[in-house]
Amino acid sequence: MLVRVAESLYWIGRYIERAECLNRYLRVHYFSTLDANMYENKDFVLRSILYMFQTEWSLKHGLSETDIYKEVLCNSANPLSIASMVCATRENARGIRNNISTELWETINKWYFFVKEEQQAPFNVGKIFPCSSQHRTYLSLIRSDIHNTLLQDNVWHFIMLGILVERLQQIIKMLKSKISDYTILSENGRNESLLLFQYIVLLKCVEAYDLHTAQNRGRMMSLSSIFELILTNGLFPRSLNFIVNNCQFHFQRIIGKPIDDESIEKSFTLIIEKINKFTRSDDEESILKLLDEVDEWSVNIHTKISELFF
Amino acid sequence: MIDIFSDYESKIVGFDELMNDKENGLLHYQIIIDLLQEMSLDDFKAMSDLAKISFLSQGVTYALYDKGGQSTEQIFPFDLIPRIILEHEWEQISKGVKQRNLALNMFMQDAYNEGKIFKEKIIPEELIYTSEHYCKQMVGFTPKGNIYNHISGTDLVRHSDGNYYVLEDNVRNPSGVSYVLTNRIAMQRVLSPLFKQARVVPVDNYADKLVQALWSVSGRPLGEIFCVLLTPGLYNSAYYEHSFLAQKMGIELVEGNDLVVKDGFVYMKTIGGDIRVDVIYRRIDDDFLDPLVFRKDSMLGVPGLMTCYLKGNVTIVNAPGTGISDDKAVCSYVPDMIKFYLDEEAIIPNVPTYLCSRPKELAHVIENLATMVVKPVDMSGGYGVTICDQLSRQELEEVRVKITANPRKFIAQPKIMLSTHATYIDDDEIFEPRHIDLRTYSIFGTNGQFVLNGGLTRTALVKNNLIVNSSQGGGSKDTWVLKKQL
Repeated sequence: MLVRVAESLYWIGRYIERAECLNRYLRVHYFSTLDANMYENKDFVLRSILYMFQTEWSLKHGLSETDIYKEVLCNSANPLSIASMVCATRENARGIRNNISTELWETINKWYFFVKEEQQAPFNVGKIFPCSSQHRTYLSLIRSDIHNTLLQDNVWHFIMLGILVERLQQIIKMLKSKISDYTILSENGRNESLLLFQYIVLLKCVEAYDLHTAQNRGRMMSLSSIFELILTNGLFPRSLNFIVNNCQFHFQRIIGKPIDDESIEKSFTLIIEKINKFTRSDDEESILKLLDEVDEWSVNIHTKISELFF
Repeated sequence: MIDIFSDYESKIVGFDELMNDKENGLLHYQIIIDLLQEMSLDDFKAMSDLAKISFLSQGVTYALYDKGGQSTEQIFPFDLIPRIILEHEWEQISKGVKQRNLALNMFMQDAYNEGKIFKEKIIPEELIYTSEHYCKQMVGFTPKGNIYNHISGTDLVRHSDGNYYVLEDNVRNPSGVSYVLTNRIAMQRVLSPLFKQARVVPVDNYADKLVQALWSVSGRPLGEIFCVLLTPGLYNSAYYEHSFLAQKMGIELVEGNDLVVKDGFVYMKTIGGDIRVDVIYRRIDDDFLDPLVFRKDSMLGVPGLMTCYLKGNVTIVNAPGTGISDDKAVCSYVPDMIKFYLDEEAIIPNVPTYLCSRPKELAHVIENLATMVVKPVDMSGGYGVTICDQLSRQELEEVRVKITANPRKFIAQPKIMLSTHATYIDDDEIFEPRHIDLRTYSIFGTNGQFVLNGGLTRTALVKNNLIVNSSQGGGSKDTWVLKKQL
């Protein structure tokens, strides 16, 4: 496989995952403000969205709620917006058009034209749900095309590797964001239900709310049950444990054999061990420490992928 | 109910394909007329929109450049009413195009080697040496299989007399073939019942024929051949076509940076190491192929590529230097080449062409400038074409000055009235005659020649416009070669 093609596939994976995470985060948070308690804390929610958007709250302070949602969803002049992710996905896909299936290409292309159309029309907050739902639909179709219309060879492995590396970084960011929100609200002496609501929002952001409820039927929702699910549950596709294990799988498949480079193999083993052995899911400080370590690992593994393959 | 002929006839200027058929008893377009009569204009518009959506989602787009050099992505305008060519007419066109390609190939072999045609004074030698596309590196070199113009696009027009004429040859990087194939896909999706009634010959074998031709000039055993398509990248106006063809042929689409020269061979850089490349179907111009030999500032090519090529270690398709046959002044000599090399008369005549480099012909052109179409010899895509009867006196004078200052750079042709064809005009919601031409696509390998059935019918969308190129706002139609009824 061409080096350029491998790199584009990897970045397609990263961009679609980033768009999906941001889209989900935005939708969940927007709906959280429709609840009376949270509406009073609207700025707080917007600050949280901007954190995921990698933008300082102070830079956007004074902008209306509509402006901020529009910026995140539709402004393709801002490279961090969902619209920009869509354009970047399409640009990468176009550059390697002959390496991906017609079905996948056409879905990505339709997604792009949907964004272009949305940009033409005036924006209001009433558009957040339909727009975000459409993104979700396109992303689901893209995932389906990735899994069902490509050979599960290096083309697929590179996209999956991109998805997983990005997912790891986005999940860590969501976790940190919610821990930070929880801490700020606690310090301000907000009521218990508002605090708990932050973790409900977190579960919804990783689409695990129903799953968590089903797993913990008959028990009170607790910090440890939430974090156990998102950090260490090896069966949950958005848990750190699942993501890192699958990164290793795709990495090994691309190499075609168990990884020669001992330091990489060791780094996978170490981080998997660290996540598996983590038992302090009720302690925010310990969680944050683990998140920092996994975050640093994710940056290193990205560098290693670039060095080895691109 | 759509009556295509309502107020149609009064708008015809010259030869109209549909009206010609009608006058002959509407034998071939009848199924289309019948279909239209069964539907409302809204039905037709809905079908037309469906076809457009199909192009959009497939990404069948091209870049249109404005005067400031900015490009925007456009859908290639497509008209649902197909152009019909009868099988016996097509057989003649196909024969004529093959004859032309063969003669042009022999000419290039001769021009870069013995130069017999110059010695015999059939073509003035200086015409070749002064061509912008003359490639001195090719002198004394013969490509594998002795083939230069592996892929050709011949532009034909049908004049008021109903006969086909050759307007020009495109033997560098003729583009547009992907539109032939995607037009057919769109038509079959939208108008499938018509295909059940008409016996339309297929076009879907082009990519197979092309890759077979690439293999045939590789000089390597089947199974060991590695071919790539070299593109300037995704900002090129024909990028869609490059990726489409690479995918259909099952070969890698590469950019210059994906290739590297080592020890006289070309390799493709992959994550598993370098792979030797045997054939490069390049879709970039000679000037950009190799910065060590041609333009130093080229970021699109591969440094050292020409050295590998001249050692016979890689095949470049089409061969560098084929542009000498693309020169519109040289085109006028093709009938002479056919006579000289094949001892045959040209099956398809040329549009009469005056070479401004010849003093007598220049005088004739200047004297009759107002009736001429003036073209630069070295440009394609309809760029630089001047239709003089549309100019003011001052503009005409400017053209005269330009030609006399550099006569070698121009040819002139009498204004040929391209035939017209019924075309649906979106803005006015009516069917009107619009000028069309026909670009045929041929492939030439050591395994023989192949001409794609039908080719691309390009249609001007502006009333009375004679320039049909997509770069000038033209559109296209599906071209049906109809098999004889059993």
